[in-house]
Amino acid sequence: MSELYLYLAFFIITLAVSFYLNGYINKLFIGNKLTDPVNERSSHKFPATRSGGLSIFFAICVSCTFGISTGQLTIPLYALLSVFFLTLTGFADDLIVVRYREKIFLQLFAALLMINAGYTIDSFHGIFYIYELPYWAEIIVSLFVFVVVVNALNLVDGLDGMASFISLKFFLITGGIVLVSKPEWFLFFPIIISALIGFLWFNFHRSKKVFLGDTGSLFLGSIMAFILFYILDSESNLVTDSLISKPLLAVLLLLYPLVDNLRAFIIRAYNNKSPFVAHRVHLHHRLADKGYQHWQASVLTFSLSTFILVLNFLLYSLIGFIGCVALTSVLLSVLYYSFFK
Amino acid sequence: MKFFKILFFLCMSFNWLNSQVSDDAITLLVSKDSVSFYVFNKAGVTDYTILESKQLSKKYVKYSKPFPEELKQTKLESLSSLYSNDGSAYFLYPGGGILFKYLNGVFERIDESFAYRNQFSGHFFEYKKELYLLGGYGYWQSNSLLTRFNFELKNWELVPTYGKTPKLGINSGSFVLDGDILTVFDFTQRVDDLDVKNNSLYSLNLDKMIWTKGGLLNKMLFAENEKSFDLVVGFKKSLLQKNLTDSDLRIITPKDNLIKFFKAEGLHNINARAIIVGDNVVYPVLSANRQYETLTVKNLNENIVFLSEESLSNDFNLIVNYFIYVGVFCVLLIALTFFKFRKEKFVFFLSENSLSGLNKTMLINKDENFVLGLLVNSKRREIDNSYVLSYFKNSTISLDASVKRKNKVIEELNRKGLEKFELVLIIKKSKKSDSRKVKYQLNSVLEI
Repeated sequence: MSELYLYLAFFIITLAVSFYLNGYINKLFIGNKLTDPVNERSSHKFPATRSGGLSIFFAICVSCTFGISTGQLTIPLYALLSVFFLTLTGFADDLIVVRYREKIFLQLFAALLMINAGYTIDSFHGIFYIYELPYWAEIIVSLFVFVVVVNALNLVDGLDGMASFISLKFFLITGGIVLVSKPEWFLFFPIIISALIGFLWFNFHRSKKVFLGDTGSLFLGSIMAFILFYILDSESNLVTDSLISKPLLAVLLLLYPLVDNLRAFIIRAYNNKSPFVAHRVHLHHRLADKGYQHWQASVLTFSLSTFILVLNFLLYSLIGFIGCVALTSVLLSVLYYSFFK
Repeated sequence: MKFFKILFFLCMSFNWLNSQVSDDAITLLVSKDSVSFYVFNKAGVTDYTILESKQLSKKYVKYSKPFPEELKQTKLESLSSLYSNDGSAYFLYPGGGILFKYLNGVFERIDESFAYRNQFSGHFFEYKKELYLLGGYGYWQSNSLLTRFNFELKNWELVPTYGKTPKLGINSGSFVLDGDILTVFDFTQRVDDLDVKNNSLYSLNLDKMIWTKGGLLNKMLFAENEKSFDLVVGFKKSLLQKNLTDSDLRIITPKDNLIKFFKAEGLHNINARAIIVGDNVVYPVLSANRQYETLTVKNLNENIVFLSEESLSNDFNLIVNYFIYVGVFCVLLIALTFFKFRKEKFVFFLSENSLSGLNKTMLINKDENFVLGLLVNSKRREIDNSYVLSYFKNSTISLDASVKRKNKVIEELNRKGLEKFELVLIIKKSKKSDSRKVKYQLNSVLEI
């Protein structure tokens, strides 16, 4: 019970810090004329800043410092280096536009930092009948997954609340896994969730609108990649091991960004257009075009992807891996025709 | 001097007498069924039966063949033993390999292998009339090898297993065999030359030879630095664990995911050689003069008092509780979002020359009034560019000039809207199929 109070205390402290910082840094950005322009392609209709990522980053730093200094939280410091590196890359991208090729190169460098910290994907856990990977394959797979995850969040950050709700789903679910399997890391989850909620308030705000920006999406994406590496590590003993396959869980945690980006990538490639150039072929743009407000589209994708995840958890022991993949594919098709077509 | 010489030889002879194996020496106890058990020593075996009165009836049999040479210098207690349903008792040499069998008065070696020495502390068990040895430690490494004794080849063979094998080894673990499922937990593995506890629950389906990984062990009960128990014996598809320094006892039933805790004051003199025979616990007790041992039989149920119970793997309860909180949190989050946006409609009043709302008024001209009116009255608050343009067309000016006029009016409306209400009033949209076809839409947060 005392632990619950501790988590609640950190939740409230971070929420307050995040709330304050989002307002304060937003003012600073506006004061320095660092606002996001309102143009035809932008989905916002109000003057807004890209200060959300920086606010979340600072709020988490403040709370983690409290957590670490009181001995309640442990953070793998070498992995943190990679997260910091990507956050700075995102910040640079928010201030001066970094080309996507340079950005990919910097992301690969951050992935190498993470790998050198000892966090890699060393097994396919039986997918395609492959278990342990040779070292060279381990590195390639880890680099690929890192870049995909980091960009997946960055690319779906197109509507108010979308990236935050996707991140919230991810951290709420993985928080449960870490609570049991690696309790010394758990305090980080109430911290990051409350920091996101503090940001969400401003993201949904009409006149003090704040966006996550590349700072936020790369920061959150790199943390997600790190947690996925932990989940997919063959030496991690997870509470969910008896409930669901690790790779399936990893995909379901980021189902919407992965499916949406894969779809957008295929469409853009088919039309001989670069998938990395800004466009409006994402599924959430369809929702917006169909008259859904931003918050409605974000909540809808959050609810649907969570529903699919829960269903897979419940049915995995009955229908197995193949059954779950088939079920998810059918559900995605049905939902696509019901909501997105 | 002569007296001391006599005394010396007397002492020597007493020592020699003591070192001889007496027929009644209790060395290795092996449970047979729910009422009987064997006591083996190097001279023979005593077959004990527990009578209803808790008295023991016994029948001593001297080995009809010479006792195996390999065990002459080995303590019998160090052997792993089991009783098979065919009436034989099997004994495995420490580390694996050399196997002995007792049947009908004959204690003999039955293998043609050698002392492998790579499976110390492995689990020796019988499944479907086959003998298996799982895991263990040897040559500075722990392993999760499963070996089976081939009675025809008289040698041990490696049995391949699949699935989520604990690859880093199973050393000094706890094992419970129930049907086809062998549950394995509370074992150590070798990581970077250190013995590290594995905190997961594993089970091996012996029919399919597939490993599955269960949840994580209850952290309160299987702490990483917790010492192993002095006494670990199988008890009715459960496992009884006890330390000899206190009166606490626990019985683990993996099938029910349960650990029951008991106080066992009546078993204060129990020792690590104890066996379970039916509901009884049997163990040797040293006599008061420390000259010989006698067997003690105690009914387990009468000598233990139930205290409490816990989950063997409590993570499931913890994660269920966590997800209940998360569920409530998500519902609250969504409800609050709904609540926030339900209120987020900005009501405006449009008059001939002004747009009023949010306690502010913005002056508008006749053209702007027309555009706003058109949007308010249109279906889905959306109008085609051509409708708007038709208003601005005039025979006295060119089409280009009309377009410019229209664009200027809309831009001016948005500029004034942003300045006054911090709101973009009209949103320009292009058709996906043809970007030249433009539509104008009233901002969805406006209620005019």
